[in-house]
Amino acid sequence: MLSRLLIALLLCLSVPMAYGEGIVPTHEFHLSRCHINYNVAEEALQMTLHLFLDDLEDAMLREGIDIQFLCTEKEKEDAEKQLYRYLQMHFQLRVNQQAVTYEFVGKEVSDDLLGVWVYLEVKEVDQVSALTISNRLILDLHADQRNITSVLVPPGKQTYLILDRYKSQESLNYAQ
Amino acid sequence: MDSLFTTYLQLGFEHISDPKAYDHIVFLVALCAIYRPQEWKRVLLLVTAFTIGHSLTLLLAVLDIIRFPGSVIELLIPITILATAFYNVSQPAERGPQAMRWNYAFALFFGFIHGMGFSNYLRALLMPGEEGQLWLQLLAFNLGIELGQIMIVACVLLLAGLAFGLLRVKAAAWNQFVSGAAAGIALTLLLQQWT
Repeated sequence: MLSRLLIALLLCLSVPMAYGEGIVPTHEFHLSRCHINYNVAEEALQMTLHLFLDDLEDAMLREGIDIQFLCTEKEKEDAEKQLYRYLQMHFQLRVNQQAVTYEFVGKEVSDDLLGVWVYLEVKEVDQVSALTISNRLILDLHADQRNITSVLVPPGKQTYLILDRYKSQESLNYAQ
Repeated sequence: MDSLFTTYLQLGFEHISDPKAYDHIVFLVALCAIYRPQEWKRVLLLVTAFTIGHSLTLLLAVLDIIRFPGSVIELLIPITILATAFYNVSQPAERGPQAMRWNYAFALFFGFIHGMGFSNYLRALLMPGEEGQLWLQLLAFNLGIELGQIMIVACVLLLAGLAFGLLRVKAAAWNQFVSGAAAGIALTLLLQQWT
């Protein structure tokens, strides 16, 4: 009985202890997400990426890009241009064996303020029979960084890729 | 190249068995320190109670009904380890059905806390536009965690069996050894949070 009381006491104490610490939002996972969707009606490849801001800034710094204070009040004037430059270095697509250039559509901060959503688009893609994705974003920073990439090219099924340091590129075939 | 199901299954399995994020592993080790290999059915039930617990908070968090701040959970998880370890060494050697009911209840309750930890990871994986597949993602992720858990407790019971059989370790000594080690790790994790 005494031991159960002790455990109950420990648990009750733990909540104020935890709050006393002051809640600093953190993320301990080295993850990024990327969703690639072929929009048949608009003939465009549309991409949504989620990157944690602290990792992103560190990774950009490694490439010699100064801290941009992305998605904060201090954000530098050409921050989006620098971000786009970093993306182009580490995130590449080949459509039907041809390297393509995507446009930077926009970005917004995620609602927990820890990450940024980035929107990219490749226009004038009339069909996709093969797609090669190279996603090396942030991989140089943490050995356990994983870039979860999902690809949807209708009418094909959704494909999931876990890209990491050991395998950062994958080719998908949609030929009939 | 994988489907959504196998990807989330893999992510769930690797999340719980990741040696770099060993807090969940240490909890499971502490949870089964008091059992002999022949009590594997009780351990399986205990792990299932833990799973029911964490599935519930995981679901609530992913549906955005509750959000749990990461730093609070980082503190609560070592406390669940510490509490389990203390509980283990204060138990009589023989367990009746009454005591087992308490153990299942604790496992369920501690499951709530660990589920909050899993939810922050799963939330970092979900993509917009995939809301329709949320249940499949949850199911696959949970199944992955469950498989990882079973693997971990099977290893602990196997080690216990070896210790009892080959080294003639007494069950009580094994419990004190494993619970003490788990408590030590939990204390270190707690201290890391403060410094």
